[in-house]
Amino acid sequence: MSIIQMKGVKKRYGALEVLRGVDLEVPAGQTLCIIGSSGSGKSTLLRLLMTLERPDAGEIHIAGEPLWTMQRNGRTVAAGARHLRHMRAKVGMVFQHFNLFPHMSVLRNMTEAPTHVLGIDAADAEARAIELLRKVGLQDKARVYPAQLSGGQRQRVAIARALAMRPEIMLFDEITSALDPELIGEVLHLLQDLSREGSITMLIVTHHMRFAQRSADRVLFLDGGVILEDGPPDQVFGAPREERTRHFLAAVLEE
Amino acid sequence: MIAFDWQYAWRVLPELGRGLVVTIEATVLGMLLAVSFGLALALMRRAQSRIIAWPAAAFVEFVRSTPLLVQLYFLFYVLPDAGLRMSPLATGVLALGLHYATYCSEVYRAGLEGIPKEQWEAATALNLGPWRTMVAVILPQAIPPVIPALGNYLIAMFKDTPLLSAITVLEMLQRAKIVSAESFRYVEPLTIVGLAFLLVSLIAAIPVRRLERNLRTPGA
Repeated sequence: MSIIQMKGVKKRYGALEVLRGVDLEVPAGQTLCIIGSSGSGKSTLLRLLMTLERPDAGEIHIAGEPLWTMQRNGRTVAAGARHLRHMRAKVGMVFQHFNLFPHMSVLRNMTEAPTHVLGIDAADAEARAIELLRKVGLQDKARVYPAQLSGGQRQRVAIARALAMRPEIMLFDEITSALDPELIGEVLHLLQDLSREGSITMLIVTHHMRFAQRSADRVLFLDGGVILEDGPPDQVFGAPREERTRHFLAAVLEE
Repeated sequence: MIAFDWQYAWRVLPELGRGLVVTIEATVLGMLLAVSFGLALALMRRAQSRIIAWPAAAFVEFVRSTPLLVQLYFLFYVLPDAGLRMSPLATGVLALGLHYATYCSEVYRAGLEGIPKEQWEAATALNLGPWRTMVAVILPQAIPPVIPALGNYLIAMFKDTPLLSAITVLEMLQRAKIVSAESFRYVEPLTIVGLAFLLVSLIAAIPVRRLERNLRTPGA
């Protein structure tokens, strides 16, 4: 069964229609790369799944449960705070600008939510945080504050922090766009390792076409708020169906 | 030339010192009320629900646009009629606290607005609840930068405490007036009162600065 189902999802900001009817099914464990020019609605798609934005129309199901509605006394009503928190437990997100908590040490960044949201006791949360830091190659940075890390290190901490909540789905929103070129590699490598493990469903919004080609199980090309291309990387990059996709790929691959 | 009678000054010093204790008491208690109720007002004004936000906003606007002296008289003469009996000092602390809470709430508001929305979004993505987000993520970042501004209000409030003499609180100025009236010598008591305010204001600035430094994040 699909872990994510979107049907006719629309979102507008004022006069600007960012998503104009998106239908999408993502099977569990898939690594999905979303490409497209800026303003095509890629980030908005992720933000809807993280409940940072509310869709104007359409339905989103996560693990079979509706994200934005719930049942009360046999009727469908808008999701309340409790339902949203129940649904958010399945999803984690990593942001372009890391969004670490600057006043907390790396360790506290990673244990704050597990202890207070999942109710894991402090010692277990710390042990798990250290284990995750080892996984992202930063085991010696537990006591350090975010400002003392490089951009690449901060983003790896942000990934580890999201993983500490044991999400089934991870959303990556242009997570290398704010990094210096020489720091991008370390973050992409980590993503690739995670993708190979295959235990988490990953939605990756990215501008790195070669990364998408190498690591994705499936590539979406979003344009003007609709999905124009959807298929395995070889097909989307090698034999795109739409003229528009060919133009986009020609433009970005020229860089 | 006005003669300064050192012996007389020395004699009235203990009485003025007792007044200074009351002055400091009123300031410390008033400030505790101001910083805590001020924070509550700032948070209430941000609430989604208008039933919570609107009364807080109205209270802030009302209190800030009326003189502290009028508020003091009002609480002193009207509260007992309403069946609430308090000592003059308690009434004074309440008035100072409520008055300065409205100024503090504006300071907190600026601090809260300074937190980028990305921090809220990160908290949502980690599934932190509203309470935990506020207490663990937002306030620890919003408050340290506004501590100098709160410190200024601490000193401003301290300098407003002589107003409490109007409602018979035996603070420093009130006692200076009483001893002066007995001996018809005003120079010494009032000079001492002025110097005491200066001295305490200067000393109070030190812990405020230290607090601000201690709350800074390493590396930031």
